[in-house]
Amino acid sequence: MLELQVEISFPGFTLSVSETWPAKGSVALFGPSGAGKSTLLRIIAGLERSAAGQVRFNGTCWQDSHTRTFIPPPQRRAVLVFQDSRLFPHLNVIRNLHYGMTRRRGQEGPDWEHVISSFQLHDLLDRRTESLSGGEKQRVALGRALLAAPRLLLLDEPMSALDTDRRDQLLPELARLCDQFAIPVICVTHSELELRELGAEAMKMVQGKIVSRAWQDRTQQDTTGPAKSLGDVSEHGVWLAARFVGIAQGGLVECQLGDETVFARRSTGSCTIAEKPGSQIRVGFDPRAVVLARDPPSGVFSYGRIKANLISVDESRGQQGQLLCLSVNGELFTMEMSGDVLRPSLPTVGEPLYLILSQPAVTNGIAETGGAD
Amino acid sequence: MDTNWLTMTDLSSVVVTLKLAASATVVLMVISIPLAWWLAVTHSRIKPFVEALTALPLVLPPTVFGFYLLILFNPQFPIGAFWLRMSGDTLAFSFSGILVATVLHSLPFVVQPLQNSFENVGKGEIEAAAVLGAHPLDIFASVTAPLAKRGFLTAAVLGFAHSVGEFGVILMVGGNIPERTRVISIDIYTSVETLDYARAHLLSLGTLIFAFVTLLTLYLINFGRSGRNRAF
Repeated sequence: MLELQVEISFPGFTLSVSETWPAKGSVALFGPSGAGKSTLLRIIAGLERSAAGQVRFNGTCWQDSHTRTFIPPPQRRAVLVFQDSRLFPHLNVIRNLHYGMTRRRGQEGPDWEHVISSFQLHDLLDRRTESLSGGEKQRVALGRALLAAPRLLLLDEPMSALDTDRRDQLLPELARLCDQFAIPVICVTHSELELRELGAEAMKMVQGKIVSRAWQDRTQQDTTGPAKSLGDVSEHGVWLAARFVGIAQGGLVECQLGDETVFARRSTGSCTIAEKPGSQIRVGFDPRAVVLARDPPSGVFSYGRIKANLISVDESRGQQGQLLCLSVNGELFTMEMSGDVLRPSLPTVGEPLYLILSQPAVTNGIAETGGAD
Repeated sequence: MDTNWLTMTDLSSVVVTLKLAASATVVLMVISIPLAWWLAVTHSRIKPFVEALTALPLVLPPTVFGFYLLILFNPQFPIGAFWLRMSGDTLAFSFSGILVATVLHSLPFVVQPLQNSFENVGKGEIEAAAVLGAHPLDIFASVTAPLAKRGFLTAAVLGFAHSVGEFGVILMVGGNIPERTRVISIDIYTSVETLDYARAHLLSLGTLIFAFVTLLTLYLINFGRSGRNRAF
């Protein structure tokens, strides 16, 4: 059991998280950049001494600002794999991999041969770290972390530097190793694939808080609550990547999201859209102005539709409604649906759902840089 | 001519200087490595005071420095008395005395490059080592020190070179005793005073070449390394 009750403030940012997670299986954190996901991992790993509150793991107090308890990282063995891999530049690959392994202090963990073959590290062993590609570095960093026999594995977008083929091979291996050695995983990710492969429970973080969770067998009382209002698109709406198609009649922007078409109006103050079909744009919509359909609907007059996959349903909210965690082209988001609407037949996890827009979506113009999350 | 030749072959000051610089470098590194590491990692409020104290020799006239050391070395003061009891000799006008003076006076030339190189080792690698199970001392030995090895070289070379060039403090604390406290710089001073220009020339030129070659070696090593880094 990982019990977190932590707060940390930096200029212009406050993180406040109160959660209890089981110390088995995986938890995935997703949400816009700057939401504090990496900071939360750093607190758990023991790299943020100034965090206020408490961190407890399986009954052991790791950090408590009241009693001034602070267990440093080596004793926690909560091994964090950083996004920028952080291999030691003065050691070659094999000595990087040995680093954690020689400091296990009797802790049982994955064995050498296993990790080397799982992460396909044979050919890299004698290389210098600076000659590795981004994906190779990340594989070495993952191997190094597992060889350190972690009690808890913290992954900060571990697969972002890997190409799709490698990812498809490595994820099941990582999941299997963690399962075999009962290593719980907390993973920051934006990818539905990673979520599914790790069998993770998804948590959304926004502005330093966990705002929603798709906790399937959740018995705990919800303390932080869901996002209360999802009204304003600019603040609470769902933003997704789309492609610019053209300007439709009436000045609406025609966008393509996967195989589906969506019409969007330009948000005030947005930059001018370069009228080039195929450019990347971000479109946002208000989840309250959405009707759900199970099959591709026909003969519906709407502002378009979006095809999404249902990742999980949070049933803990009972009367108030259900929190659906959905994915479109690998981008995750949550939306609340009234229980009355869903009662007749609850959609099942893994099922494709169509989101029909009763209001135009919003676009803020060309946003190769990511746009407003 | 004969007397001149005799003075020319008297290399005792060179021996004293080399012995002094070598011992000073060893003592300096032993003191400076932990001190520089502490300065590089501490958030303590007394850090600026320690830094200012360490940097004092950079700005203080050697005479001021030497004057206070002489007072401290006086057997009527605790330090001087302690030394006299331990070794049976006074610190003032002895080789041990000029060694202490040289070490203290060269401290910033060794501490600062070490501190800089420790600070330049990224926080990233240190955090990675910590989560992988390394304790602070272990991190220092396995990550910080290897990544800061250029700083060690710079510090040792500067410490040695600066000890060779020491003059004012040694003259104040050690006097000018042949084969004991007369180092090259004082030897040159004495030669000029006694109008022995040939000897002054020889010693000065030797010191000049030594200083230039030392610095050139240091810069060549640094140039070579940064050039290799730039290639990536």
